[in-house]
Amino acid sequence: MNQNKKINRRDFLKELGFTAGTATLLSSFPWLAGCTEQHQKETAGEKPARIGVIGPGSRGQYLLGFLMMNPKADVVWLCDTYQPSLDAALKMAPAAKTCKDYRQVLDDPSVDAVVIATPLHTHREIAVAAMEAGKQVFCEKSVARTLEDTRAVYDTHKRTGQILFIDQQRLFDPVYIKAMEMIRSGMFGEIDGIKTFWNRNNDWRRPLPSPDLERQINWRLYKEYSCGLMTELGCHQIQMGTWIWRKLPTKIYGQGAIVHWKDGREVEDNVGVTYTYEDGRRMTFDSIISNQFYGLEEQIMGNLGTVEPEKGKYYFEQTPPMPGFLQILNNIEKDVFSSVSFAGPSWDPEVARQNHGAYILGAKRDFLDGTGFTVDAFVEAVLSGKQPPMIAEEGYYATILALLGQQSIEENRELPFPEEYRIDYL
Amino acid sequence: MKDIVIKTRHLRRELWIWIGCFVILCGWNAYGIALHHTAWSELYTLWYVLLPLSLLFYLLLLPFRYVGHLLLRGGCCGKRNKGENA
Repeated sequence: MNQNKKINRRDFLKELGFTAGTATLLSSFPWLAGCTEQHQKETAGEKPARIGVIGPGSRGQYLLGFLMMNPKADVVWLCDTYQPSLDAALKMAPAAKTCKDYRQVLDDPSVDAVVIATPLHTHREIAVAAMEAGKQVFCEKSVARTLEDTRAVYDTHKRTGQILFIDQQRLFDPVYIKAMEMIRSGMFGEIDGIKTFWNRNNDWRRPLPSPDLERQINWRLYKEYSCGLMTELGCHQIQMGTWIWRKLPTKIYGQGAIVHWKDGREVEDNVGVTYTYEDGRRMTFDSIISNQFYGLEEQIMGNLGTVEPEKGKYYFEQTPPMPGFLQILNNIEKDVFSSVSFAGPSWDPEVARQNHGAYILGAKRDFLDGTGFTVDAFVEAVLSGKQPPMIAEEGYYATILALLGQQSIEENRELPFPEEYRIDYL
Repeated sequence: MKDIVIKTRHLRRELWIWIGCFVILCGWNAYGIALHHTAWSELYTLWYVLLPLSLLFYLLLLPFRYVGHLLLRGGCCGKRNKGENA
């Protein structure tokens, strides 16, 4: 909750080099314009943005925590159909009014913006209605449950001109931004492949106060409401492809099954999707939720080096040679102690390189991710009334690609990227 | 009981032997740099390796020097004894 206190906004800008030469960074990361000191001074005199939080469950409360820490935000409504969530959120924002129907929030003309953190299948209805009602929208990822719904949300954003933020927090994560800057500078050569994975070892269930609330609380496990691992986890990592390559894949092929958690769920607990680009490069997403040994990571692989932003590290393929003197000592040691091959083939397995790498930000990250900065940027956007570029588009394509991956898994066939879902971006 | 007295000339001799060890290692370092085409700055950046290693060399030399000393003294004593007998 308090991760933002460890790295405050000023530090965030400093980490990214936003001290004097902002122009260079903003040309590569234009959506960060709202984070500049100048922009924040401009909105400093404004009245706080009046925000309603729709769906303050676990994720909604996480977002609410950041809003409560932001003096430029005023949380005026909390809306949820599940009373315990509403009660917990009310403890965090005691001055807010509460309701069970989101339309009440939208009918309040004093509300500037809404944060939507409801189950995925409701995103379209609420986001579209909010933008039609003249509210700015911060929507949790994924954008929506289906391709059509995702397109409808994006089209409404374009038609109404209302701000649309999708919570793709990597766009505001200092580690990712710095890593992207390094990648663009050519430090790691040509990025030839992106391997992403998100593994955990739990059933992904939330405790139920009553069995009849199963579908309401564990909505992620049912296809009517969610696409499971693809829309809840994959969506974050799949975004790396469009961000790095500035292209869309031409072919999508996925496979998945319920392998371990056979407990009545409908969504797969073991998935793997390959996104192939025009020139043959590939991005893969894998997720297994019965083994957490490798956790989550995005391995961005160039011919000169590798980036692992979740670890916050990068590694060069060619490490600096050992000092000449130590090489001599090593050779002597090898001559004296190495075993002598007697017979049979010799094989040097290509095991992982023992390369400790270097930290992207120069030190280990001491914050969780970019969610807090994303929420802050949304508040700035609401106050200025300006949609930062790329935020809605990156979120849109991340959702489309996640949904296409899910479709491929369900139909067990390779899909082309459907032209009707291409937007004026990239 | 007799005091152990280390004379200045003995101290100077030990110091020269240790410096000799260090110089040999520096030469070896230069050879390594030339052989493996690494940076010449390693001549001074590797001080943290060369310094303890030179001390180790110096210590390793001690038993050999002691044996040599005994052999030399034995040889001298032998000659002296012969002389005495004559």
